Amino acid sequence: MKRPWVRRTLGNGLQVVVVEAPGAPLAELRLVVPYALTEPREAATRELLAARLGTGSTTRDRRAVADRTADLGAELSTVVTVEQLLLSVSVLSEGLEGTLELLGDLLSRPAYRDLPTSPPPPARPAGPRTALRRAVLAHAFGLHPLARPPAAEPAPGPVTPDDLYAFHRRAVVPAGSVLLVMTGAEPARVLRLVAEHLGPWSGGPSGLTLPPFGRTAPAPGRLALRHPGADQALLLTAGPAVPSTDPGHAALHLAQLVLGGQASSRLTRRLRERHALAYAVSAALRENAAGTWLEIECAGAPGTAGRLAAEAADVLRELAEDGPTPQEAERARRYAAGFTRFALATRAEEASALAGFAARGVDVDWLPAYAEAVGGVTHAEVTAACREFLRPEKTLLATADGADAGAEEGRTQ
Amino acid sequence: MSVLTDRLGNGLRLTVEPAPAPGRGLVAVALTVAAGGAHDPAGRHGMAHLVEHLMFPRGTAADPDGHVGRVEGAGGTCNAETHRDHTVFHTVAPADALPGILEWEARRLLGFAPDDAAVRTETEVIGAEIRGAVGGGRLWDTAYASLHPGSRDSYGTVAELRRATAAEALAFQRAHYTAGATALTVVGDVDPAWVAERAEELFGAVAAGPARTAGPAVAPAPGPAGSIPYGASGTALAHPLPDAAGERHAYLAHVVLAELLGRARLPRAVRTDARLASASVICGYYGQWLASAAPDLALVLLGRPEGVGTGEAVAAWEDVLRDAAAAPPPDAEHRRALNALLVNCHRQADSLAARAVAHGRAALLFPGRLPGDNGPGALAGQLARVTPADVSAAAGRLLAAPYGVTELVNS
Repeated sequence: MKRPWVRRTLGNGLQVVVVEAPGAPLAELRLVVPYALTEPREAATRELLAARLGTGSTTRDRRAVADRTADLGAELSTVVTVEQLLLSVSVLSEGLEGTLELLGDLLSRPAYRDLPTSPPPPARPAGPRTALRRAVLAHAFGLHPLARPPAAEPAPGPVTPDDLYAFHRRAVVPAGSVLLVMTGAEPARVLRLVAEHLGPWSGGPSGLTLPPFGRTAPAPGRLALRHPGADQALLLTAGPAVPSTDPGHAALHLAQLVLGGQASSRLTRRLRERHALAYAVSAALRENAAGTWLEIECAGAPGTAGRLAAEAADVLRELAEDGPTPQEAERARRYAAGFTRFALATRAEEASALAGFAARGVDVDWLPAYAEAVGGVTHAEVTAACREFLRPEKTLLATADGADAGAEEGRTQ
Repeated sequence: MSVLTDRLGNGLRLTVEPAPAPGRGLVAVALTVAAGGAHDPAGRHGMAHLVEHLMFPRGTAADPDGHVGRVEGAGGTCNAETHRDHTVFHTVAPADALPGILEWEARRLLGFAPDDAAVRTETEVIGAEIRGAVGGGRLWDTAYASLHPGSRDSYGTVAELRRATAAEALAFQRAHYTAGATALTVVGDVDPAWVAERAEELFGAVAAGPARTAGPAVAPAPGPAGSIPYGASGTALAHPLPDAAGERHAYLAHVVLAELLGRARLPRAVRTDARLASASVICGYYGQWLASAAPDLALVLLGRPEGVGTGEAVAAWEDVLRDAAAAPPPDAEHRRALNALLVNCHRQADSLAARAVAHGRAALLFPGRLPGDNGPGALAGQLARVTPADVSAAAGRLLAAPYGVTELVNS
């Protein structure tokens, strides 16, 4: 469903999107700030800033911020992804203006008090999932910040207030950021309030965006990691894909659903229902500024890594060679059409998704238009997408296992 | 628009809420059955969970889609959860798929006929599910068992389920999935009169019969302190909550108390009291209050600085409780805690699936004096009626009641 919306760019470079949601008891705000880790030596500062952002300003300490938030009926949270910092607020509708004033205060006049006095501890050894993901990205796409493990040596000293203020001035800036407000209030009034309270915020753009991978298509092969002590065998793959703006994306999306994007998928039927190898198995299209890839992920009992990889490769091969049945393609098409509606069924989910679209530079109405595109994809086009993207010889199949059976030492091609 | 609540001729409860605003062309259906882990037969720990899995019949040569395939082919998604006292099957789909969804719900309920091969496969799938849930799943259940010794989780024990047969699963389903133990809930872009008529046609054949109790309610009786590996050294306390069905107001007062303590008083205690390294309190299964009518917990997690014993940390927590019990909280502090809970209420109410599940629980587990009394639409008002004095009384009640202790051992 399309909602009325307006989009403006303030003088400080902040893009503002106001989406009308009449009758809502809550207003939803999403501030998306580019926040990719491009310099490993900034990791500790980046992490501490994300944890402390929104907890104090020069006029409000942590207690005052918490009290003001609670008085407004607001819930504020911060999430950091590999490329963005997302500040989310749900607030009782009557608290919208107060929340914008508070946000402006926290962003323009931050204060970082009571910082840790000891250096951050060295990073813990990565668990099997993290180690496997880094290994997959490094093998598939080459050296890249996403594939790099954190520094093993201890930091030379604690993060200082100067470090934090400098990083705030560089990273937490309006130019390049997007603020989405979903509310029942009149859009022109909301825009006025945003301009009043966030207009004085200045700086940017930061340039903190992920660099592209060295390769657009992943290097295929077979990677088997031993992870002593792991209580599950893990499978993670990287296969070729195209971005969501590509005309061929809709057909690939349906191929991905048939493969493992729904509970009645080929992978679920094979790995779960036929062989009881896993509780959940999924295939997903991954996309960020670095690149795009098709990923299969599942966990099984220790010692089953080789079996998981073999079965997944066989399902890929079957689909690449024979394509889906017409019924499977139709089911995926209908599921995709439904998904575009129920995935955005709550206002909170909808606000997060629309803010994500706006931050990627695509239209806020992208999803309804995409749903129409999916509706027009034919069985022959899904079959062609399977043939092009699901070939096991184009896919990196990687596993991690704590047990000997099915896991080879080191890496093999 | 008003909520339709009704009972079919066989006693099956029906709730229909036309909610086009959040629905926007969608519908959510919940089938709630008063059979959960507490109903597992002796020697078959996990039977309720196994039956939940078997309620998703797979595709066959004659019926290639299976239940999930049919729902997904209609543009929907479905899943289920087994709790201590109930199991809930929930589906969200485009509203025009509702006729099919209702038909398929009735088909799997009435045509339940697992074979031994499916029982064997799903037992191993449950084993994989348990392996994946070990980290988070154990803390709550271990704390629960510290207050209710002998209680077991709702996941099951694979070794016991490997001895289960299809005939046993069928017997369990027939005994427990009766009309009197079942609630059908439909929320979204729907016509209540049409749903009521169709429900009678499709579900009227469900065998009449009451919900079976899982045995007499047992008063909390803490056993000796147990222990569990955890990410940090500390102590988990399991405090009993008032009965969410019979003492709803007192139960919600504890929810407000937990929010109030967590917002300011516990962080202040951690800053000022050397006996605490961290402290938090939640009500209900991982913070999901009113998720079950089974005896419920307030779970307190106390981080202990090095050299501080369990007794000292618990004493620090009791000091916080004593302070709360001594005088009602100031109005501003009380209002802030309520505001935070109300925001959560509104967010939950916005989710069609959560609304359908909440209606099902209200109908089956928390029936009020009047229809809708305890439904999701009433919750915000019920919370708002909790006074500062009620919150203070809740703290006093926690202090007076026995509680269970679990040592968290830094792993």
